[in-house]
Amino acid sequence: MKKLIPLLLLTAMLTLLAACGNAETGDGEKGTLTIGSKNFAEQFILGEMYAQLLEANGYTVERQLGLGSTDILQTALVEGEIDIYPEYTSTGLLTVLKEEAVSSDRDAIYQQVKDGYAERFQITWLDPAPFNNTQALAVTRETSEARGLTTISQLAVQSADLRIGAAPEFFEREDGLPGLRALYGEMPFADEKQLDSGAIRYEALLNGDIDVVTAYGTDGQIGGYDLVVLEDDKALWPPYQVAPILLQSTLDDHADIAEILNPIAPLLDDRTMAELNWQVDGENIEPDEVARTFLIEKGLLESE
Amino acid sequence: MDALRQMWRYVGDNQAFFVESLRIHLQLSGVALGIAILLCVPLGIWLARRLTLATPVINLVSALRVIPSLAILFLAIPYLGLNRTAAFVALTLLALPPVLINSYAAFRGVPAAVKEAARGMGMNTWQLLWQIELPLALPVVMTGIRTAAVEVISSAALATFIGAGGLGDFIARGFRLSSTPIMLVGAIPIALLALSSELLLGGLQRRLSAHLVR
Amino acid sequence: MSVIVADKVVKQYANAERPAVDGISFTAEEGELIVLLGPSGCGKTTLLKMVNRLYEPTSGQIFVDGTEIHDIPATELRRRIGYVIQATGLFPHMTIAENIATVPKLLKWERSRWSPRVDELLTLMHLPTEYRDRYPVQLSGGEQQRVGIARALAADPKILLMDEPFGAIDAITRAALQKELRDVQQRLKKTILFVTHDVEEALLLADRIMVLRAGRVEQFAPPLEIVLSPANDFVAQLIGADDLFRRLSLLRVDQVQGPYDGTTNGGPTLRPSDSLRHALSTMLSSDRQTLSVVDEQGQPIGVVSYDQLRTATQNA
Ligand SMILES: Nc1ncnc2c1ncn2[C@@H]1O[C@H](COP(=O)(O)OP(=O)(O)OP(=O)(O)O)[C@@H](O)[C@H]1O
Ligand SMILES: [Mg+2]
Repeated sequence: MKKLIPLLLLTAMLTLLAACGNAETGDGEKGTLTIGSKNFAEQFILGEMYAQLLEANGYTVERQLGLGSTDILQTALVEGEIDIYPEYTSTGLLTVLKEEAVSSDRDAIYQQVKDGYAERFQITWLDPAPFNNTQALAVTRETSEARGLTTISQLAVQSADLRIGAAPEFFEREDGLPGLRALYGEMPFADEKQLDSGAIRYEALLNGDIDVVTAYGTDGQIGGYDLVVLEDDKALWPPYQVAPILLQSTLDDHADIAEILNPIAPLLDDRTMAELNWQVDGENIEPDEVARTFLIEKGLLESE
Repeated sequence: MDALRQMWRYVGDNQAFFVESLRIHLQLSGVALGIAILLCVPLGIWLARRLTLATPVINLVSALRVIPSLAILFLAIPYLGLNRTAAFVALTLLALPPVLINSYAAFRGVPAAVKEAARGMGMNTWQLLWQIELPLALPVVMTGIRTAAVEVISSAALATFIGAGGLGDFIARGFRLSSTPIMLVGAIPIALLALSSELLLGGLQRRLSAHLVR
Repeated sequence: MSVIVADKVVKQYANAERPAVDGISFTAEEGELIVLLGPSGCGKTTLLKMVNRLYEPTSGQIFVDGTEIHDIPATELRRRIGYVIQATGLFPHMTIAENIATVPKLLKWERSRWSPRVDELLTLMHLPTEYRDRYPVQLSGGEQQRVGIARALAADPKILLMDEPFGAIDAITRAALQKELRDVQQRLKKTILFVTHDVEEALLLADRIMVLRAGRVEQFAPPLEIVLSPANDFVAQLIGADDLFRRLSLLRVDQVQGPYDGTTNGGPTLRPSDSLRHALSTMLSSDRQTLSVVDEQGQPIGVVSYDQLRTATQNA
């Protein structure tokens, strides 16, 4: 809960800063770009990375980070209120395009969503990062080792002894518990606790109030608390790789955007992204600082 | 209307879970209210006889009212963990002030002349309490209990945020899924519960009064 | 044996400069109506409440029927003593019948016994028996006072403690209630301690008056003696004994009348309860020096002469 507050404050501050910056300095040599993002740590960090790299390459950047859900960002992008934001492949496919995946292969899905967007919205996807921020189930390392529990198939066998704590929507959605059960079998749990807040879900797991928790692949807590993500061995969940997306027309006007942003992608694997998220969620470091330190460390940005 | 029909269908599809959530909700509210009554009615009677002590105690308990219910829930977590106990404690804390304040005021309000007459007629402490003080204090005590009941039943919806279940689960689910019908599966029964607690306790009050007077 | 005996009773409230009751001793005989009279705060209520142990004496002893009151459980003592409090103190949530039956029920009487008793007492207090099922708020103040008295009489106690029972009642109702009380008392032979600070009420009702000041007894004597020979200036002033007409209006015919001498003069007659002021004005208007006193049936029982009136007003 309390981690949300600095984030909100930050959003407000950044919005303010962006507005001031705009008024005082006017357009840079190459023009102004507006970066948007959803409102959780990973998206703030990615948004900052895009923004800082573009600034370093002569663009004036306006930040609209933490705007909200996929729907809001998609509309803002199409209507030109923002120019670039980080989106996930399967979110684009399932939520925006509302298509079925042609296969569970991540490259195939990337290609499918890229084509779909180009055709329907004249939006283009830049290079995807290798990390997979998909839905997941996690247990503590202790539980994993004591029970030899590393895959969801194994969980399906042992579930009757275990208590699960999950987000409210997990109990209803087809890519939640109903989908898991359809694929892996009945999977009855000793107790099913509905927990609205992610922070509280992890707290419950660490306190031993639950044994299995719903998570996302790159949640900072996974590394921070040394949790074990159970392998989705029957591939219920499609891959959620992130990429910057923007209108084709924007790219046509500013061809160098792809060259500026694409180098970030290969640096972000599951572990790296989770660590960066943990710096924000667990260590309360500001996302812009996390992004800057990372980019400098990787040589994409020069230290001041 | 469509939302109501979908809501009805959802209840039908999830009967067992609905019944279980309803049971938990009733249990949470009932136990919290019960503990508050068992604690506060005697305490109120006792304080009504010790005026010097009464003011600080009443002020302290009234101060509880300032803390929002959700804050009480979250504040209880570090001490009690994420379980039903935390919800019981938070909801009980919520029910304490109205029951205590009304009990105290009710027993303070029994006219001194009436109590003196009763003692002068030769009633002992118990007879005075049961035959005179309690029936006269009952309406105000019950008003406090009714207030507490409505507060507890509606606040029990927040128990979902600490994983204690109850009808609040449907509200959180509906909200996360942007589904009005699912939210209504939680909201409508809670409203009905609050309403029927009013009616039920009102009826109980009338029957108790009649019984105590005789 | 005296029904009530008080022996050097003292009541010292915590934080009070002087005792509220400061060493009072007295006895009350069977069938006697004793009025406790004195200014506000002189200790009347305090003395009364010590008799039924609503207050505990600081020192001294009180005996009821020869038993020290602490040798009887307080609840049992109280059920034996009728109590009418300063404010009526009726139980607002109980019907008139239930109010009146309070002590009988505490004594575990059967309904078949207390229910007729309620009607009997309502009738005695000149209240309609239909009032049984009403609640106190549905009665006038005077009617409530009467119910309060009926309630005190319910279990037929030998002793009644009455603390300004006619306190907030208008003069006419009050006079009627006073008359009822005297009738009841004379018929039922109760021993009554009656608190008032109304001098006329005291003189009208009392067999003996105990005049109190600041917790002490200033004079304890029958009304006539108090009026005719007040023990000191305080008593004289309290009674208003200096005023001739007041003295005449305070004294009753039966307090001065001479024995019936067998003659009747055919003129207007007096009743024993008439005031001497009424007697004087009757004498003046009928131009007679002597008047006959008759009872309820009109039978002559005594005479009052102008000389007796003069003696009564001078004998100070
Ligand atoms: N419960 C009490 N505690 C302390 N002091 C008291 C208490 N009751 C009475 N007193 C004091 O004792 C004194 C006598 O009071 P009491 O009530 O006996 O007077 P009273 O003669 O009945 O007066 P009134 O005619 O006004 O009823 C008063 O000074 C009063 O303030
Ligand atoms: Mg008094």
